[in-house]
Amino acid sequence: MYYIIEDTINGILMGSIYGLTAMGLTIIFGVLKVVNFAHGSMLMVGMYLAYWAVTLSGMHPYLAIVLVAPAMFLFGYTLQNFVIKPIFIAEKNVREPLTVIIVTTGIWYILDNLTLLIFGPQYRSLADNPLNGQMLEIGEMFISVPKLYGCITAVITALGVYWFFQKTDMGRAIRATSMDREAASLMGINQYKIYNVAFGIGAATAGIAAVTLVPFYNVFPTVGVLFDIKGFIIVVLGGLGSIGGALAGGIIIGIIESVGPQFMTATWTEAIVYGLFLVVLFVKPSGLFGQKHDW
Amino acid sequence: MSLLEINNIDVSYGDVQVIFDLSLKVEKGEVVSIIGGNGAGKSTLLRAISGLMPASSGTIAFHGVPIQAEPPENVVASGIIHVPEGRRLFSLMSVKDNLLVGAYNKRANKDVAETLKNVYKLLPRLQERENQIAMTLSGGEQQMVAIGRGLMGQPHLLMLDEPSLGLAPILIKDIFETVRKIADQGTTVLMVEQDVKHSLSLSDRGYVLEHGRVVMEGKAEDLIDDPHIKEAYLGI
Repeated sequence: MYYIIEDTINGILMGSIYGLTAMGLTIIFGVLKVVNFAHGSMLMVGMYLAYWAVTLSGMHPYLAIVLVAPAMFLFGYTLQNFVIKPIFIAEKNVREPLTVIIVTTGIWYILDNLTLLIFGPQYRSLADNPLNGQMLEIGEMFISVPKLYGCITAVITALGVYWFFQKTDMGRAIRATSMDREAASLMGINQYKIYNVAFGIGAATAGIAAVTLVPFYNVFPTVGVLFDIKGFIIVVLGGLGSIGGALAGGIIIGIIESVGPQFMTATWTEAIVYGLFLVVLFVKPSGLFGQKHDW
Repeated sequence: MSLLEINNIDVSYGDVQVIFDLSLKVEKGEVVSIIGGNGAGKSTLLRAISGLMPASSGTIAFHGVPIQAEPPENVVASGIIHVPEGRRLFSLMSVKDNLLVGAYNKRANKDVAETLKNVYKLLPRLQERENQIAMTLSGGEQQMVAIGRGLMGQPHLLMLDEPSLGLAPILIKDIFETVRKIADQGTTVLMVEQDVKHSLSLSDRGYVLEHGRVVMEGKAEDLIDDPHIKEAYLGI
């Protein structure tokens, strides 16, 4: 019985980190209405940034957030402004331009291979960071400390992003643009600037997720791909565009992955995850927490 | 100098030209109606002014400054607010958030609290409903939100596209009374309407559009009595 509780808790912790990695995906989709295939690569870039920041300066791994989140915001903002925006302008009359998806796929390949070229294929890890292998002992249960920190960070980030969207002028403008671009432009909102900011926020959340991963996860050029696929499932499960949904979707997958192996071969948990994904698509295509409306 | 001066504009959707060589003037403080049947180009004219559909030729000047090549956000910044046809509210946002988004432009953003108070005074129903999601309001209330959202942008010129569309007669009366009040407070109004009788009766002047051309213009009371208008639009 203890095992199940322990696995559930660890599943929730890891799951909320999954949710954090997917949060940017759902934010960007919610506003731009295109899937960002480069999201995993942005996470990877964030992980390298965090890794080198911590390695070179010797700071506490979580302190890297102060550096990585703004750097990733700028990275996302610039990427959208110079690479993706021209496509949006060229395809002004298309609501969900497919070409943007192809461009983000290109960005994915370029980022991954550029990293491979510069840093090589080897796995890197922050072996001697203060969080490495730390366990919290509660009775007979062991809880991973870096994952606990990650979970807390994920919840704070989700609340912060939610607050920003609800309570600030820029947040309201972003929501307005996500609901009706043309009406938003009649309110004096420059939609392309909103896309830049939304992409920047999405990249920044990927950066925060990267910082929470680096203390216990290897860094290598294709690490993003693992989280990419999981991210897509999480955001569809939770409802595209829903921030809370991303967290909830992540936690569901985390629990399945963590508790499942108690009852079956670990590889079967994947089947359950994908099965659940299909069931949700059939029964509630807008996702568990997604709002059903015309984009 | 007129507040809004449009000279000889042409507007097309791709290869299909909708507006031909159209000229129009709005003076400060006026209420001007543009009337005409379906497909006459009324909405397109407003879209051309607000920058959603740039005119392919001709000039549009506001306060004497050419705006025909400006994107919508700059037109808004210059003081023209377009309340689009079909209301186009941000359906999943609360009434209050819809109104606040209306004050996004820099000029209006400075005294948003004050403007909100005035809008609530003009449209008290909105204050009662401020936390309700826009989608859940009735049609008439939604139109009030759309107008209120337009006022939040502190317009020098408020353009209303068919504010009475799809509303019950009693609500139509409400809407027109509100428009009258807005005009009496000093806002210039340019209104597109199919409800010719109501819109002309509260306007100073009117333009009649047919097939993308101005076929008649004049004082509103003269237009109401015009035999062609009586026959074509009032069914008398």
